[in-house]
Amino acid sequence: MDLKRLKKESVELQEPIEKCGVTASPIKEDLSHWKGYILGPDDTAYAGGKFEIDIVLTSSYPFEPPKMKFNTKIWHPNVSSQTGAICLDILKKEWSPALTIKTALISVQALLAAPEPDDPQDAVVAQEYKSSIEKFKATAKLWTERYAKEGSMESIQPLLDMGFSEEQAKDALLEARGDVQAAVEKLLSGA
Amino acid sequence: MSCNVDDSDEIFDDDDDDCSMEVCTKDSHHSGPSNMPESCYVKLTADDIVKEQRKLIQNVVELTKLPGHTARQLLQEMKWSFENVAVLYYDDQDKLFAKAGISVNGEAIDAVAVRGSSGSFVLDQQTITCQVCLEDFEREEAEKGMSTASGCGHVFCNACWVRHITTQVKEGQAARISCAGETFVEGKRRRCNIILDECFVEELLRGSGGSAEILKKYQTRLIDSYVNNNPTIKWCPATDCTNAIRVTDSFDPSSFDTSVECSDGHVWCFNCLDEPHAPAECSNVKEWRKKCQEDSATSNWLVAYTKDCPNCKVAINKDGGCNHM
Repeated sequence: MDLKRLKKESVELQEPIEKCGVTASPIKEDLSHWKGYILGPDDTAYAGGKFEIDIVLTSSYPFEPPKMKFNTKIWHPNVSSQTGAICLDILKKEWSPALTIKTALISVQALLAAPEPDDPQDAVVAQEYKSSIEKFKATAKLWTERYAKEGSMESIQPLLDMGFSEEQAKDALLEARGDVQAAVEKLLSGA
Repeated sequence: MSCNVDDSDEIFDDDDDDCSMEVCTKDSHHSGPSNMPESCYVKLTADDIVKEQRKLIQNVVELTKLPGHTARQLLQEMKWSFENVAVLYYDDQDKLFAKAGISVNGEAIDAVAVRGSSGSFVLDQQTITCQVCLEDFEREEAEKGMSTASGCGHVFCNACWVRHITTQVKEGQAARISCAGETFVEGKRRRCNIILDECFVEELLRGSGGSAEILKKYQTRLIDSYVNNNPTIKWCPATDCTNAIRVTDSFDPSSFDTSVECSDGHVWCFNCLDEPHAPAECSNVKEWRKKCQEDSATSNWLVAYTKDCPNCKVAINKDGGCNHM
């Protein structure tokens, strides 16, 4: 591994996330394991979310692409809703050693704004995207609220007022796809 | 760095008449178990393949007046069919060149060298940063220790080039190793599509800390890429046999017996690479072999849940993920 280059990359990535929407820092001293964050692009169902990305570098980096996956759950046709695996060409055969962790993260962020449902990683999500874009957007937004935001969901307050915990309320809302009435019924029925 | 063009020209001067290719005719006395009419195929040795390759390259050089290494890329992209190259050459040159990785597709990022040069380059700034190792080079050092592939203007230090090429060769690439740079295509970042030409790669691997082993592998793979990319030629499947068979136009893949015999006497079916099996069809043989395996439950499962890899014929099972292998 090219330690000199990685140290330079690390310095470049120390900027606050607000500046270019991505950030990353090594979590292991040998610089082989990093944790990155990307902000959901504005005007998308992911807006306002902060997504954690797990980054593993092989000893051949940068001649081999970094291995990236979502640690934060996300509803997107090109990301597995179960494992967080990302299907993005520059992380595979379109990788160039002149790309960096930063430019790769920016490309992942661009993927959030421009899904490619015809080349899916998660067939269920892609099917929903193609058959009902509105339904897809609603689910993606809920998942963003549930998993990628530190604060609470907009519609959660009535449920909290009823005495349910934040965890319970979020899960119920998620299952009811944001329908407060249905979530209440679900919680009251004890399911 | 410069590429010795004279050398590569010389190899094209081979007189075709002394080509040792052995065309089987009905008069030949061999009486192997292969029953296919012998005018249907040609026995080739590794040397014959190199000669065939050179002849095709020379034809394209004569047609296009392009250098030999560029002609190779055009042929590689068009599955080693001179006719296909010629048709697209007259039809849409730009498309042909972009496809073969000779002209840049999109907008090259961080391209600093004057375009159109190969190997050596002219620099119009005092220092230059290698975009791979991020080291700075003074102009003088750079002109000695850095290189650019032709066409795109991306400049990297020779050590990074060698590591890039070595990684690619280890991954099984040879004929389509692309430049280490990046470009913008339709607003997306992509690797640069320029394909590194043969003499650029060989010169780097000979100096700059490249290894002889990787160079040898690279050269072997270039020959392999000719055979693998050419549907009319197949390597003999026998272990350690370096011969190949090229079928002629009169070969009929659906004929009764499709077995062929290589120069060393190995006989095999040209369609499925298995032992000769006439009158059974290739598919029958494959099913029979599966059936014969001790564990028939396993073979039932294989039939139901797997598909053969289109290249190596190994049974593969998709258990999730995208369609990219």
